[in-house]
Amino acid sequence: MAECGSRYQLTVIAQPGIQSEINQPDVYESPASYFEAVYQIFQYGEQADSDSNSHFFNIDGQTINLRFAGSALTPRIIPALEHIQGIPTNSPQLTICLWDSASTHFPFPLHPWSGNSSSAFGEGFHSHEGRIHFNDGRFRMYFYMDDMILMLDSHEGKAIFWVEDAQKLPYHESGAPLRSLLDWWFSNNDRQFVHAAALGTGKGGVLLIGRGGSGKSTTTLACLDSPLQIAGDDYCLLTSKPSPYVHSLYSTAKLDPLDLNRLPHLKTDISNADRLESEKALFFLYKRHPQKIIKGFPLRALLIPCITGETQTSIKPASSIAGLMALAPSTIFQLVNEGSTSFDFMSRLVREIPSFHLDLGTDLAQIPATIIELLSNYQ
Amino acid sequence: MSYSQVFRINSPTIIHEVIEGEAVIINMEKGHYYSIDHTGAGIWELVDKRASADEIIQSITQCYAGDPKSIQNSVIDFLAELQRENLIVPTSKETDDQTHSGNVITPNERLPFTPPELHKYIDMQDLLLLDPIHEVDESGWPNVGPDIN
Repeated sequence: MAECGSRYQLTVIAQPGIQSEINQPDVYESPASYFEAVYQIFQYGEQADSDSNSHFFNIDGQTINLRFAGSALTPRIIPALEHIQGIPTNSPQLTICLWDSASTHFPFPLHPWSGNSSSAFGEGFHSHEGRIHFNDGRFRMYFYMDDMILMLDSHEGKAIFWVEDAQKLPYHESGAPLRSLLDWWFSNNDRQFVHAAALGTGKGGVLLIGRGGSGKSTTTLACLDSPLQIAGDDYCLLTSKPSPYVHSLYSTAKLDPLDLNRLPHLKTDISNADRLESEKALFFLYKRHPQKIIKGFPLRALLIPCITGETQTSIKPASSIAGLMALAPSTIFQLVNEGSTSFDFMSRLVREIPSFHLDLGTDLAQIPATIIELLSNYQ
Repeated sequence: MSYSQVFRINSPTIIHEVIEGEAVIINMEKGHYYSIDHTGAGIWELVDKRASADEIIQSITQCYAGDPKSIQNSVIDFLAELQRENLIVPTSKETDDQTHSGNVITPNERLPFTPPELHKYIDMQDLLLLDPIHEVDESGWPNVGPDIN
């Protein structure tokens, strides 16, 4: 990279033997100018790679357009979202631009705090171990070391998802891709990203809430052989008006390998069977069980699962505060938007929707039957 | 601790909710969260109304049946524990725009007094450490973190 007056040039080798230069300012005066510079890099990458591709999804009536520069990230992002594919449009509410530098050779421009010298680019971008999160109400930006950068312009409905190397994307990002960007975009007073599994039918369903290891995923997968459908295993979107409603985001499920013995018939569905020593088993449910995935349903109850070791599964009323205790901390500490806003949403929710303790038995067939019986009281 | 001491909830670090006489409190910085029972939730609500320690003791003594000295000691101990956990911080009543007005517990219930308990949960702390997205700082442009040169 060579310094060029008040601008610098990024030298890009988009294809072997083909070298191009992109002029970028060395000082960014505002979040908008920085965002635009990043977007320009993406556009160059998108145009330069013949494998660039675009996909549309629909969540709660909003069309999300994912534009990939190159194709390395596509198979790591798209499969979890296939069940909510939408119709292409020229005016999506949110456009997310995705690329990685390893495959496209288009790097990320200077960090906005990196000063105005060319040497600051290398040092500023690569040498820091910190993480930076910026939010001025319109722009949100998140810099995670030199591995991942997320940016959202909430006014323009435009977002950036960049990683250094698509091949190094963690498996759980493929299971619940783009969740921070979607959380930023969707969460407001009437919508809330939550950490919960969601099971039901078109007439209504439940959220399974609680910390990891409480039995949410086992319950979710145990319902594959039941009339219940799945709207999510780890995360889903809630709307509150006119009444609480669950919207599916991801058609995946993750299960601790130790729990696979309880669901041995699912072993052939595992997408990462060769990496279970270090990863949870990841299932792309829509691919193998498309009829079991539902895009959403009215929310009828909050269930707090607990593995008991008993044979029987039973259900009993829980206090609203127990529901809030199970739902709020794990959501807030995984999916922080504005913590107080999220907490207010969930506080209103537990006042409106009844909570129950779901004591999970070892006879897995009883679990969906118990939930179905509960739901019959609310339909 | 002075009996005239007034506290406030340590917002915005602390977010909290009281429902049906029980409270959930979350420390957004440390990843800790807490629950408190009926007596403790009543004290918490009085703190939120900027009642002084003495006013809280009086209110709890009126609302619960029990030895006044034991109630006094329990309330003071509980306030001290809330302060140690940085859930509440001392403030001055003169500068407050919120003031204590009346009991938050119905006096004619007169339930037997049970010492308030603060239940602390730290199982989310690891999540906070693992998930860097929570390192939120929302001022200025560019916003440089402390570890950035």
